[in-house]
Amino acid sequence: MTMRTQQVLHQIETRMQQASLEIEQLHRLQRSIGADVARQDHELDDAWGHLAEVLVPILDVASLDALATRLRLPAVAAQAVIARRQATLSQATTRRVELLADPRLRDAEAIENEVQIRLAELDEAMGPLRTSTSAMESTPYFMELLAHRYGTDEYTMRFWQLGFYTHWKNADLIVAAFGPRSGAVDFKSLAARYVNEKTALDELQRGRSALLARRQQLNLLQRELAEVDASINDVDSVTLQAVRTRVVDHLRPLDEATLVAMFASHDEGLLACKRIIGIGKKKAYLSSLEQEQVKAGLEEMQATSAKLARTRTKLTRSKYFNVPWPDAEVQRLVGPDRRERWGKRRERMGQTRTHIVEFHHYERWNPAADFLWWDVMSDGRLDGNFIPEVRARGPVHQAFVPDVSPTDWRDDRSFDAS
Amino acid sequence: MLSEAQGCAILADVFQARGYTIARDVDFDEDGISFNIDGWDAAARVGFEFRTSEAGDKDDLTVDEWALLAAAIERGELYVFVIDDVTVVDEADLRLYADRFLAEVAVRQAATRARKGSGRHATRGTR
Repeated sequence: MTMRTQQVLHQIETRMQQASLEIEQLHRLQRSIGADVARQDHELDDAWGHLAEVLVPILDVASLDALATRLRLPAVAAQAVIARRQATLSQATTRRVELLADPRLRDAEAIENEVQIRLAELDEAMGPLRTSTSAMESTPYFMELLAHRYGTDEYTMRFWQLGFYTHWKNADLIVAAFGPRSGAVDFKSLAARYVNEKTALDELQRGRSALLARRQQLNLLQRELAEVDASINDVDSVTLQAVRTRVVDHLRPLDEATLVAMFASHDEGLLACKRIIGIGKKKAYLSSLEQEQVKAGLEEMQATSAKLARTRTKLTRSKYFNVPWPDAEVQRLVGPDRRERWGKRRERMGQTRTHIVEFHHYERWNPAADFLWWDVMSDGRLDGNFIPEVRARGPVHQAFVPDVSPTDWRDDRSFDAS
Repeated sequence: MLSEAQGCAILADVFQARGYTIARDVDFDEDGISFNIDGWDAAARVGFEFRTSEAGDKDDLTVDEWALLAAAIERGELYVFVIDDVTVVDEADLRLYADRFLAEVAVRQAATRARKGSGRHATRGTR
């Protein structure tokens, strides 16, 4: 059996379309994984916040001192926290007294009234001036004549230049349009009137800007007073938040082993740490999946597609027109239909991604046991060779047994919340 | 919008209506000023010149030559109506402006004839 070149080309086109479709689907998977990684960052922030809440539920002298010892962080000891709270309160109270003594705040209502009245007066005075000057400014040639100082001794255009006459005609038209209303008899007096009006308008505008600045200053003071009042009223919650932030800043740079050791005897803290470490692992595994499998798959598909394109270009040369191609040669040029293989590969990547993203049983990780997070996440059922630490460790020889009875992290939280 | 060719034809018509004998595209070469003038009455020493990029006229005279020409006009030795941008005027305006220019020239020539060296100068700008 043989095939004509056109038929072979048709088969190549079909293969290229299949490859293109697969590339598109891999790109979609790649984007989804990228979004998953970004979501892990948010989850990680949330997990650190939760650890801080667990470690500092309230501002309590004994708890703070115990925490300072555990973390080796004197800044969160009760005495230091109380001192900071007192300093914050004292600073805010002092500022409040200063603000309340400010005459602008004392007379705020009167100032606002005065600003409103004066703004209204200015707007009323500026209205006709703005109308008049705008009308002149928007009249053709007016600004040009003004710039050339037409009608004055400084006018430089000469009688032998065309511009002299265009200016002459347009100056006459402008005087005819504005003269009767303004009482100006020539362009010079009209220009002088415009300059006077513009100067007055600019002066009024400066006055208006000064009033608005005064109002803005007052608003800033009022806002600051409200903020100071809030900081006095909320001093406890502000201090609590500051302590939590300090704790997280202290713990974030620590490595996994140090964190685990620090909370070995603190069940709730250890669980929160496991969640933090687990989310970090999820992020790393998702990145490995994208780099080692999806990206590699994409590169393979792009190479296949490029090879088919080269073959297509070759077969479109005139010397191949109507050449009979034996079946074996067609198979070599077109290649087998690999859609099923591609689909299965992509499905495996999708399953791996789902498995990682949907994992929430952080409590199942036992820092003391010789298991990787991947073993916990996959229950040993998924191939994790795309992850460097799994590849380095080699195959697992014993089935993974959870550290504690499985409890979904999210279920715990929703249970607590309820 | 007028082209330079249309503008030249209109100006030649206006100048001739005022009694001038206008020759077109004349080589002018006097006192360090050398250029091809668009319209020129050699006897009356009155003409017109377009300074537009359309005919490459902007490069025809150097800056120094322009200064010399302007000074000669101001002294009343000759009168050239210079059109920098014909595209901003229509035919009626161009006729009006040329007519006003020629009226001014007539006044200046009469003044020069009457009293050499102390002629009146038009000061349209101070109207």
